[in-house]
Amino acid sequence: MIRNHRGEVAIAYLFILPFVLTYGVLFLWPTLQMVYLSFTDAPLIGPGEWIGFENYVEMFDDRRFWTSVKNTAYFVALTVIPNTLIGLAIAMMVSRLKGWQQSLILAMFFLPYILPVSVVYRIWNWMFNLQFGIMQYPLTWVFGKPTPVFRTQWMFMPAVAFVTIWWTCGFNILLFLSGLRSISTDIYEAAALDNASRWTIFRRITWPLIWPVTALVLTIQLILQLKIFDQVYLFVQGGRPDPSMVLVQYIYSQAFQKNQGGYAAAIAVALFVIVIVFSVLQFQLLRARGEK
Amino acid sequence: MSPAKHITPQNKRRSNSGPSQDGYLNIGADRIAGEPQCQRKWRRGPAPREDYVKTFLKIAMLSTALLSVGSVQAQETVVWWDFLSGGDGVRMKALIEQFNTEHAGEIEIQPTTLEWGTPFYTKVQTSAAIGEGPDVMTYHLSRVPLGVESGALAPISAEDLAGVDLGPDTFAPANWEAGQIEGQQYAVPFDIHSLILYYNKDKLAEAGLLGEDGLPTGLDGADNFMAALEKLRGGSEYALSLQTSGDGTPWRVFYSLFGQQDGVFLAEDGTFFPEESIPKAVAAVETMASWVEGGLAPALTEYEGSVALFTSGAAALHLNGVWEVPTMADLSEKGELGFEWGAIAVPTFFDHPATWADSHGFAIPNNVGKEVTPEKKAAVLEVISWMNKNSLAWANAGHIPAYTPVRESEEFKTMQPNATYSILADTAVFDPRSTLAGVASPVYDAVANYISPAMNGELEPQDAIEEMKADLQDQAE
Amino acid sequence: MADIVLNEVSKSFGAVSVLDKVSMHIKSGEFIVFLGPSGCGKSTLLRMIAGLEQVSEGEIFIGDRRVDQLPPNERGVSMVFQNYALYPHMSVRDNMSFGLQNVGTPKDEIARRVDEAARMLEIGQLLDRKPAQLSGGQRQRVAIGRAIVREPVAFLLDEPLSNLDAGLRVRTRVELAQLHHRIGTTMIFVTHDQTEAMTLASRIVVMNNRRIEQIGKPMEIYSRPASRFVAAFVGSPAMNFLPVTGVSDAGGFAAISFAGQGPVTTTVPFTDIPKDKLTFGIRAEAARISREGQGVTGVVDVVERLGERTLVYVSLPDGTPLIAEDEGVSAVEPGQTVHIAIDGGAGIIFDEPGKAYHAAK
Repeated sequence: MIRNHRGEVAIAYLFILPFVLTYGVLFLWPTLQMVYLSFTDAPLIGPGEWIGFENYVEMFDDRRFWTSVKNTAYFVALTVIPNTLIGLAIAMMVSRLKGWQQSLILAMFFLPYILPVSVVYRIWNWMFNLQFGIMQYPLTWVFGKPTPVFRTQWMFMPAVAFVTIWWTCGFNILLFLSGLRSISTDIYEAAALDNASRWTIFRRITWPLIWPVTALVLTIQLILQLKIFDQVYLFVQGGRPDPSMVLVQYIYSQAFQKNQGGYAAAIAVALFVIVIVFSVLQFQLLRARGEK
Repeated sequence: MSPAKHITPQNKRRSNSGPSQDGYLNIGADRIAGEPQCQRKWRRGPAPREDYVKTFLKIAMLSTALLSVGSVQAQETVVWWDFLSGGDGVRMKALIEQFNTEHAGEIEIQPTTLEWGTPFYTKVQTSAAIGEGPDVMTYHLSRVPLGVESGALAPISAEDLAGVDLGPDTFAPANWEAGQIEGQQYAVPFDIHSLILYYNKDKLAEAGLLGEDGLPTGLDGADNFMAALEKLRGGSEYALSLQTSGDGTPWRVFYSLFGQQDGVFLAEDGTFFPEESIPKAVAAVETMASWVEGGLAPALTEYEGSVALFTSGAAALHLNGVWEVPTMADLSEKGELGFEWGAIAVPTFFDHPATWADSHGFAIPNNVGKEVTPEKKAAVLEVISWMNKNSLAWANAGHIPAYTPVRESEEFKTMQPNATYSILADTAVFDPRSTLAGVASPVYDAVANYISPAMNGELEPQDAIEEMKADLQDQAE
Repeated sequence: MADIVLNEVSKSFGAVSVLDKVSMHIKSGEFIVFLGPSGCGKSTLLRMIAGLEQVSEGEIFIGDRRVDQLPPNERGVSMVFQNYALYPHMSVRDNMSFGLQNVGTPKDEIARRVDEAARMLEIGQLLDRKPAQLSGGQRQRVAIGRAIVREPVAFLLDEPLSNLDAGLRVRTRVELAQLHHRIGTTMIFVTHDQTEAMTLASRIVVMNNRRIEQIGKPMEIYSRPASRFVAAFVGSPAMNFLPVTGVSDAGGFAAISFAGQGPVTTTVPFTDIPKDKLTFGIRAEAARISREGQGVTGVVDVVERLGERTLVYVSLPDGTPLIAEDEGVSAVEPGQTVHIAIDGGAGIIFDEPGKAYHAAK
C-alpha cells in the first residue's frame, strides 16, 4: 500500500501539538523557571539577583530543611508500605464477595477517596476531638485519659498517616482488585488441587502474580506521599508547625510567609530531585524483583 | 484582628448578601433574577391579561436598569477587602452600608471578606503583584514592615492625607508612626485593639473577688492572680480559659507579661531576646505555664474552644482580644449567656501595667501596572477618612478608635465596657517592628512552636525561650 | 487404585438445576469420557468429582472414602484444565513440583518424579522455561506432566485438546491413549467431540440435558444407542432418521415403510414396539447405493467423496433426505436417480419420545 508518509507525520504532529503546547506552557516552562529561580534571591513575586549556588549552600546548613526532609521520610515510611498492604488485604477480602455485596462494600471503601482533603480534615478532627470525638473512647481505654492526638507530638505523624491511609486506600483497593480479577480462577483451582494452603496460595500464587500492580501502587504512593502537604498543614493548625514540618509545607512557608521565592524554589528543586531519584530507583528495583 | 474562625449565624447570613441588597440596583443581577422567571410563566401559557402585566413589568424593569446604568457610571466604585468576620464583620458591614447610603451616586464600596491571617496576606501580596488587588484593604499595622518589604503596599502621601483631614495630629503619635516605614506613610490607623480579661460576674461574686464598685479586685500580681484562680477553682471547670495551643492568644498574653517587665523582644542591633531580657521572657512563660500545670486553665485548647468554655459558663475568667466583646454583648442581649459578664484591662502581673496591642489600619495595595485615576484616589481617601470619623460605631466592636477626636469624644468615654479598659491605650505595647513580626509572621509561628508547648509543659520555659531566640535569629539572617 | 462411584449426584445453582441425580460406577483404570453438547453438565460433573464445585445432593466415593465434602486436595485426583492453568510466573519444573512441595515431598524425590514425567512426555529440555515461552502443545504436556507427578488415583481432563490445532489434536489424542495404556491410571475425560470419545474411551458416558443418556463401550454406544439423542450425537455422518409411514409384522420382526417405499424388514421384534409415530434410524453405511437396482429410490443432491468411501446425499420421492454410502470410486453424479439398499438388520426404531428399539441380543 502506498501512503503519503510525510503527510501522515504532519497530521500526527498536528494532533499532538495541543498537548505538547499545553505541557510546555503549563509544566515544562514553569519547571525551568523554578530551576532558574532557585539560583536567585527573588522574593515570592518578581525577579531577583543571580546568586549562584548560595541558596543550595544555605539549604544544606538549614536545620529546618533537614527537619522537613526527616519528617517527609517518616511520613512516607508510615504510609507507603502500610497503605499498599492494607489496600491489598482489603482488595483480597472484597474480591471474595460477589455481585451487589461486592459493589456495596467496594463503594464504602472507595467513598473516602472522593472527599476533598478539607472534608477529610473536618471529619477526623471531629472524630479525634478531645471533648466529644468518638475516637476518644478507645484512646481513653488505652491511655487512661482523653488524648489530644494532633497536639501530642509523637502521635501527630502516625495519626495523619492513619487518616491518609483511610482517605486514599480506596484507590489502591481498586487497582488491586482489578489486578486480582486478572488472575484466572483456574490457577487458584489448580493450586487447590496442588495441596496449597491459603498462605501458600497467597505467598506463591497471588503475591507474585499481583506484583506488577503492587510495584505500581508503591510507586504512585511514594510520589504522592513525598509531596505530602494538605493533611499536615490542616491538622497542625493551631498546634506546633515546626516539629512536624514537611518539605512542601516548608516550601510554602518560605515562599508565602517569608517571601523568599528563590530559596523556596531551591527547596522545591531538591524535592523534585528526591521524587525523581526515589521513584525511578524504586520502580526499577521493584521491576527487577518482579522479573526474577 | 478578629480571627475569622468564630462565625455567628447572623454573620453567615450577612456574608451572602450581594451588592443589590446594599440599596443599589445591580443591573446584571436583576436581569438574571428577573428574566427566567418571566419566561417560565410565558411558556406555561398564562391568561392573556397576565401576559400584559408581565410584559409591562418587564419593560419597566428594563428601563429602570437602563436608567441606573447612567448613575452607576457616574459613581466611583471602591473594591474593598477585609478579614473581618464574626462580631467585627457584622459591624463593619453596617458601616459600609451606611457609607454607601450616604454616598449614593458618588462612591460605592464593594466589599469582600477573606480569611484572616496567612490566607489574606498571601492573597494581597500575590494579587497586588499582578495588579489585581483591591482599591483599599484592612491591614494590621504590625504587618506593615513585612508588607512594605514584600512590595505589597503603596505609599500614601502626606498631602493626600491632609486633604481629607488626616495627619499626625489626629492620631496618637505611636499609632500614626506604626503605619510608616522610614517616615513614609503606608497605612492609616483605624483602631487599637488589645487583650482584655473577660469575667463572669456571678462566679467572681461567689468567690469574693468583686470589689465595692462591682469590679473585680485582687487580681494584680502574679501570686495574687494565682490565689484568685485557686479561689475560683471549685466554682467551674476552669478558673481561667484562654487559647493554649498555636499562635494568637499565647503570643498576646506572653507579650503583655513580657512588656510588664520592660522586656526587649528585638533589640536595635537585631538581637532577639537580648541577654538581660531572657529571664523576663522565661518568667512570663512560667507564669502562663503555672495556670495550665495547676489545672486552672485548659491545656492544648484552641481559640474557639477557649471562647466556648467561657460563654458556656465553664470558666470564670477569659483572656482574649477586645474583638470578642460583640460576641458577649450579642449573646447577653439575646439572653443566651446565662450570666452577667464584664471586661477589664489585663491585670498587672509584674512591675507595671502593659498590654499587647495591635492596630487595624487601612492600606492601599501596590497594584503593579494599574494606574490609579485621580477620581479613584479621591474616593479611596474619602473611604479611609469617613471610616475614621465614624469609628465610634466600630468601638462598638470592642475596639478603641485610633482617630483622636472620636477617642476623646464624650460618647466613647462613656461607652461600656470599653471605658473600663480604655486605660490600656496608654499602656499598650505594640508588636515588634520587624519583617519577621506581625500577624501570621514567623514570630507568630515561633509562638506556636515554643511558647505554647512550654505553656502545656511540653518544653521547659528556659529551653523554649532559648530555642525561640535561636530560631528567630536564624531566620533573620 | 480405586473405583469412583457417583450416587444420585445433583447440582443446582440457586433455582437452576444443572445436574439431576447422576449415578455411575467407574472402575479403577478405566478411561471414561463424558460426552455431550455444551451445557449438558459434563464439565460441572467433572469439577464436582475434583471438588471444585460443591455437590448439592448425592454422594461421591473414591475407593471406599466418601469425598463429596472433602476439599480438592484431599481427594487424590489431578486435573488438567482446558486452558492448562499453568502458573505463569513459575518455570516448568516449578509448575510440576508445586503440588509435591506443598505436601512436603523430599527434594530428591520431587526431582526424580519430575524428571521421569518430563522424559515420558518429552519435555525434558523445557524444564527451565516459563509457560509464556512454550507452544500450545508444550503447555499441554506440562499440564499433563503436572498431573502425573502427583501420582493421583485418577486424572480429570477438562476438554484438554480443544485449544490445539487439528493436527496436533489427533497426535496428542494418540499419545494420551498410549499414556493411559502405560500408566494405567483411571482417566476421566470431558469432551464434546465424539471422535475423541470414540477413539479414547473404554466407556463413554453420553450426557444430555442434566442427565446421563447412556453409559457404554464406544461400539455399543455406536451400534446400540439407547436413545435418538445418542444415535444422533455419536457417529459421522449423523444417522438418518426416516419418519415411519407403516409398520407390519414380518415373522415376528417389524417391517416398516417410509417415504412411500418399503417395506424394509428389520430385526426388531414386532411385539416390542409401539405402533404409532415411529422413526426409523439407519446409518449411512447400512444404506448403500445398489447397482442392482434394489431398494428404495431417490434423486442425488450432493456427492461427497472421502477417498475410501463416498457419501451420497439423496432426496427420497416425498422429499425426505437420506445419506447413503457408496464405495470410494463412485460413478454417482448429482441429479441422478439411484437405488439404495437398506440393511434392515442394522436399523433401529425410535418411538416418539426418542427411546430406541434394537434387535434382540
